[in-house]
Amino acid sequence: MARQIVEVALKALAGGLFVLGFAVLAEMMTPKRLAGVFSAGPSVALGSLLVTAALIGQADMRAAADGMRAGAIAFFVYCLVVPPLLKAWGVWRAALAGLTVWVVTAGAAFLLLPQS
Amino acid sequence: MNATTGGGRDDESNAPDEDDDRIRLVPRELARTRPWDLVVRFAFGAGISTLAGVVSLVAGPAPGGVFLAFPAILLASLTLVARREGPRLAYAEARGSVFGTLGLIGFAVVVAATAVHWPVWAALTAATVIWAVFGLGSYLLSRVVVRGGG
Repeated sequence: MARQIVEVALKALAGGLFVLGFAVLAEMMTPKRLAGVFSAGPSVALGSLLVTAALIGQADMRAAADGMRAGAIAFFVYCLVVPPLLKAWGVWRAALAGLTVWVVTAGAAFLLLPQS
Repeated sequence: MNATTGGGRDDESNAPDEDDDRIRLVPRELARTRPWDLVVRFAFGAGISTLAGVVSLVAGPAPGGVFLAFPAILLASLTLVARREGPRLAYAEARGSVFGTLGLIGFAVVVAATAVHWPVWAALTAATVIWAVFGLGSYLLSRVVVRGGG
C-alpha cells in the first residue's frame, strides 16, 4: 500500500512539474494560437510514464500508452468542439460540454482500438 | 521562428494584446504571469496525474493511460487566459490546441510501439520529437495554407 501511495505521489509531482514547464513555454509564445499547441503537450504523460517505467516496468508503460491513444483522439475531438462553443456559451459551459464529449469519445475509442 | 529575447523593444510588452501573426518567444512575458496562475497549472497537472495513477491502480495501466490525455491543462489555461486577457485570446488558444492534439496522438502511438523494444529515454525522446513535428508542423502548415488562400 505504501509503495502504491509513493507511486501516485511521484506521478503527481512529476506531472505537475512537466505541466509547469510546458505552461511556462506557452506563456512566452506568441501568437496565442501557437501557445495553444503547448496546452496540448505531453506534459502529464511524460511525468507519469517516466515514473511508471522506473517503478513498475516498460510493459505497463506500453499499456498506459495504449490507453493514451484513446484519450488523445478524444482530446482532438474536444478541441474541434470547444472553440465554437466558447463563442456561444463562454469558457466554463463550453469546457464542461467539451469534457462530456471527451469522456464519450475516449470511452468509445478505448473499446474500439486494438491493444498492442 | 524568430526567438526574441526580450531585449528592450517597446512593442513586445503589448504582444499578447496585439496577438499578431509573428512567431516569437518572449521570455519577458513571464513577468506578466502571476505566480498563482502557475500554481493553478501545477495543481491541475498534479491532480490529473493523481487521477491517472489511481485509475491505473484500480483498473489497470491501460484505462489509467486514457487520462494521460485528459484536457484539464487546456481547461486551466483557457479559464486563466479568458480572465486575464479576454475571450478572444482564449478562443485563439483553444483553436491552436487542436494541432497539439495531433502531436499527442503521435506521441502515444510511438510510445506504444517502442516502449518494450527501446530504452525508456529513447522511446520518450522519439515520442516527444514526434509530438513536436506533428504539433508544430501542422500549426506551421495551417499558416501556410491560410496565407496561400489569401
